Amino acid sequence: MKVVSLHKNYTVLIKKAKKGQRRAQHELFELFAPKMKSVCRQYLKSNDMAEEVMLIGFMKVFTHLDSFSGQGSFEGWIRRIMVNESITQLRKDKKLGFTAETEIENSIDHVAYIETELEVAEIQKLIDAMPDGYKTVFVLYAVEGYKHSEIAELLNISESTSKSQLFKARKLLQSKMIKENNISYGTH
Amino acid sequence: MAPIKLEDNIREKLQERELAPSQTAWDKLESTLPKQQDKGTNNFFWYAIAASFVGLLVIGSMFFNDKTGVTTTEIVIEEPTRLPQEEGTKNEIVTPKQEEIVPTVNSTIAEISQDESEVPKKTKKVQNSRLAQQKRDITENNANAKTAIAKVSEENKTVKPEDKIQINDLFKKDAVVSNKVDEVVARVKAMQEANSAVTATEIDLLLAQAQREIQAERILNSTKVDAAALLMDVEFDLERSFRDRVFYALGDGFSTIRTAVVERNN
Repeated sequence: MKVVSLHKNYTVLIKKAKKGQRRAQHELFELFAPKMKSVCRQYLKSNDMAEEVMLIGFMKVFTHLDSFSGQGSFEGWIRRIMVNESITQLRKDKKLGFTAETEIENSIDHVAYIETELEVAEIQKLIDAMPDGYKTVFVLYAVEGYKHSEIAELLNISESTSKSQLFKARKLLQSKMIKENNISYGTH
Repeated sequence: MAPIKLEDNIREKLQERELAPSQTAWDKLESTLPKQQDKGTNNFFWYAIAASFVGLLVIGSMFFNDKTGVTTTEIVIEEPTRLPQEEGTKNEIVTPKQEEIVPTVNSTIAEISQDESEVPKKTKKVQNSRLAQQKRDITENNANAKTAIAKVSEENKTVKPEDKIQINDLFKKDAVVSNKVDEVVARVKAMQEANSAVTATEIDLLLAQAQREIQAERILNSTKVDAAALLMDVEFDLERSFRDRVFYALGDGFSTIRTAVVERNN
């Protein structure tokens, strides 16, 4: 029941926001801004930059609200816009330089296990330490759930580049975790 | 404790995370958003137009109401010019009619006088006394009605002179009909006095005659006459109201006469 009413509220708010009602837009902003800032922060290294990109993203959300069909998750729709904006920002800053990677050292997908849960601040620290290319592919794949074909299309790279970037990102992450001594290896 | 998949842990933590935007975030966003307040002002503009339209309607209706007020007074002013004519015609018509009635009543009395001797004097006396009482009642009622109308007109003195004129006019028109009622009642009483049994056909005849007279009077009284329409209208109206009134006036008298006749027969 709660979910339904929440969804209904969204629908009403979205309808009003589509008509350009400022109050509805503000409410939607209040509802989704914290999560979307977090999304942007996954790709961008500072909170300020994340907020800046998030605001650009929200501007696009409100100006293109008519293109949201109402089918599917509104949050998912906003999130996708935020991801695109973050990548656009990285491109602007010329941080997304992908070298053509053809060699993937090991086809077996290594899965890293940890003994204790990492705090979100630690995770962010680990991600921030990665090069932007690795990080972007890793976040898109591991956190957002994009497929390699989608990542390739989004970043305008080949699928194999996407795969190699992910492989490298994982390797880097594991090496960092070994340093912290709380990781074990396994295969699946 | 089972080891946790690193990537699952990262995904869960990052998806749950929320980073509060700065205090000025919304203001910044609002400044970049297209000025949609226009829509609000547009709405306000339309509301203003609607309100002014309604205002105009109200003022217009008030203005037209005033106009209709003026026209009614114009119509009412016409009425007093008709009044003397009405009175004149009424007098003219009433006098010959009364003359007409006398011979007819006399003839009916003459016709019935033969039976008169058969009627016992006792019942005749009872009838006379009851009829006299009835007459008194009717006159009292008339007097009451007149005083009531007079009272109403007194109360309305402060309202408008036109209203008074209208009331007077109505009263006069009513008076014509009530005169007729009185006449017919008188004639019926005369017949009753002459003969205890008054048949329905006789009363019908009297009523029809009186109706014709009233019709004629009405047509003569009105200055502008659309003869056909007026006749159709008045005929229907008269047929009901006049008959009803006569029967109402006669109702009690008839029952007494009938009982008297039944007693006599017994």
